Amino acid sequence: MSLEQLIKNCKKGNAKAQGQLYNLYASKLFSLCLKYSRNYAEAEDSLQDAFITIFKKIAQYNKKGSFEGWLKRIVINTALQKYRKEAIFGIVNENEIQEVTVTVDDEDLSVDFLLKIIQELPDRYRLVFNLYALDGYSHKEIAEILHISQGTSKSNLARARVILRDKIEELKSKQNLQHSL
Amino acid sequence: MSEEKNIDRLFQEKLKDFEVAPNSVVWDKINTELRKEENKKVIPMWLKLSGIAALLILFIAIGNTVFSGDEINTNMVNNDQETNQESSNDNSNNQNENIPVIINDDNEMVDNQADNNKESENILNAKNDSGNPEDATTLKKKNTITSGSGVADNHLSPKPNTEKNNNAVANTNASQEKSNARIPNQDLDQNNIQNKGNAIVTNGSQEQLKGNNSKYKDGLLFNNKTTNKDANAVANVNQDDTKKLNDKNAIRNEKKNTFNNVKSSNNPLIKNNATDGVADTNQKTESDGNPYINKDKINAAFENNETEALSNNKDGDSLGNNTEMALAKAQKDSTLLKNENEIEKAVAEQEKKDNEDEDDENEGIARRWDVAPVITPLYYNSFGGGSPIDQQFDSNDKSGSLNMGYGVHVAYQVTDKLSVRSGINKIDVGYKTNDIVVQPAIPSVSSPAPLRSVKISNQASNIAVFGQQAFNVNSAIPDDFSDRFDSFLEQRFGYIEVPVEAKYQISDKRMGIHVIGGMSTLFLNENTIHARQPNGNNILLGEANNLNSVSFTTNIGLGFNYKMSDKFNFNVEPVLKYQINGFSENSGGFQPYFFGIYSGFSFKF
Repeated sequence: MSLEQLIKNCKKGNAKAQGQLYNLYASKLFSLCLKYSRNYAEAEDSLQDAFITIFKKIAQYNKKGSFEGWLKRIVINTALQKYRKEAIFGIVNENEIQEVTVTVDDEDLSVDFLLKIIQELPDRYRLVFNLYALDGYSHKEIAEILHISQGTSKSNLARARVILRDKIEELKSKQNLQHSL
Repeated sequence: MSEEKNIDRLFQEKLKDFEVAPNSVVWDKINTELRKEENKKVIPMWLKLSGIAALLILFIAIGNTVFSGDEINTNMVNNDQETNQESSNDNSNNQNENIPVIINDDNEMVDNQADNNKESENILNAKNDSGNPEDATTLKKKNTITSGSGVADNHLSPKPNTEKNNNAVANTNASQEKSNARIPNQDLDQNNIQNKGNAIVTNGSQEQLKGNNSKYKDGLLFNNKTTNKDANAVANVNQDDTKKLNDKNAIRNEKKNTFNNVKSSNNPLIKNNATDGVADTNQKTESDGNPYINKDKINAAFENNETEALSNNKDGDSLGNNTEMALAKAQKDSTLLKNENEIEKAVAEQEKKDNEDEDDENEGIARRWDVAPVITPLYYNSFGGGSPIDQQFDSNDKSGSLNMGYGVHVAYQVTDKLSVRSGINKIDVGYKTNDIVVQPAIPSVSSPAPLRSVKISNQASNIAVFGQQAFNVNSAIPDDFSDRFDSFLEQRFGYIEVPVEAKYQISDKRMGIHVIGGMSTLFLNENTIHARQPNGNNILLGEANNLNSVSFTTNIGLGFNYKMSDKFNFNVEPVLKYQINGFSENSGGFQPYFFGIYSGFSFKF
């Protein structure tokens, strides 16, 4: 069955088609949820909410733009919605720092580790880093989505990068230590 | 080897192909949530439809009540009737406690009279004056809905009576009231000028009434105005005899006092009596018996001004119903009112009618609910010729099968003719598709396309099913394979049915006939397709994937009910139910219907 047909059936509310659509995209979207969430359980919640929204609103999907992009937007919005509810955005306030380029050695870093350190980021750093670095949003867009200024967005991104680099360095030094022993 | 790299790129590359399958529990939750949403969507629709049905029924009910004005009027008029009846009873029986029946407001007046007859008269007149204009202006309005009560209130003490009286107003009354209102005003004036002249006088009898000078009449008049003008007229006639009556009244008052003291003291009680009215009136009227009004007695009662008695007369209230009826008739026939005898006759007739009406009302009102467990044979078939399973079976011989359904209905009697009912039924139906070949699928042979609308179960995954016509059946069938032919597919549907139906009684006899119309919501709870071979093998193929979990039927039927007692009925109702959206898609021209003969006992309570 073509994707188009599948979407069409989902629009009719066909349970079978919904299941197929879920199977098709769940893994990809779940990884997205994991990146935006603090932990696994939260990611599951986001995925669940996102799919319910997807099936409810699938009738609104018009074939402009990729379907996957549409799905991702919903997932990201759902994930962000959670933090909006928690009203964390206004709470974090710090001096803006300059945008800097942070570089690291491309070690054999596991995906699990990278995911872990992303999830360990403070909520807003994580969101900004995900949006900008991984999902290609501009600072302008991020500022609108998160209701912050572009400067704050840039500052958060820079801080996120520094934290991530530090954690990678930390890991590396540990590994080196083990290695030398 | 390691390489200096922008950290963003590192994450991008590492996470580019990162995918994690979520726990399967997540899908279960999503699915549950989605189905819940669907159900939510369905139920509001169902509610809307039943809401429309309920509205429709309401309109019909209102229409019925409006057009069957007589009965309503009698009921509504109860307060007035009570007073009238009381007066009539008093007249006939002389002893009738009913005399005091005078409206609640009268109680106050009566008291006044007791103190000073003259004063009381004046008060009464004043009240009448105040009340009459209101009546005239408001009667029309009240008449439509609560007009009767309004009038009664005006005459009586305005406070409690108005509320109570509202119940009674009827259309006919309204017209009567209008005429009455005018008359009372005139009468009042006359009364004021003359001796409190009997304002109550009915249309015809007004002059005579006027002649009657008794002050008591005024009190009566008030009552009469509110309730029945006829009664007033009678009272007026009696006025001449007021003096004698007064003596009698004294006696009566004593009697009444015993009965009524409690009641009289409390106006609210009187009101209560009025509302209770019908039942009491029936009994009382029977006991009182004489529909004819003794004017003397009435007058005397008034003269005595036993407020207590008047206010207290519960009996009077009951009598009031009869009088109301009488009044209604009297209003219709103004000529009758003129002649006391005629009035009396009318009153008598009305009383009879009232009694009958009351009986009817009591039955109708007392037992509005009934519960009926029902059982039915159910036949399921299609108006269309297609196959719900696969188009290759369109030309196959197919047949509906006979099954049973059962459930419980609860009905609410809206009017004596119309009732609405709902309930819950469990229905199981089946549908056979004959001339099927069932055989193990042979991988090497190109197997036929899977059946369009069947979700094949695992255990049936290696079974091929196709129509017999796919073979050239005329060629000899090897014995080994004979078992595989002449099989049939049996599709079974199970539904929980929630009907919402209106029932209209055409014939009310012991053997009654009614028609039924409405709709049902069906919730699918069983869905299987079996392949049955002639040797008795029964293979579960799977389930249909084109059935809606919620569907609707439109229902129409005819019912016969045999009245075994007041409470028990035996019902037989052949009902045809046409399913509207049983199939989500690809129904293959299959338009299913159910036919059942629902039967069972119903119990009223």
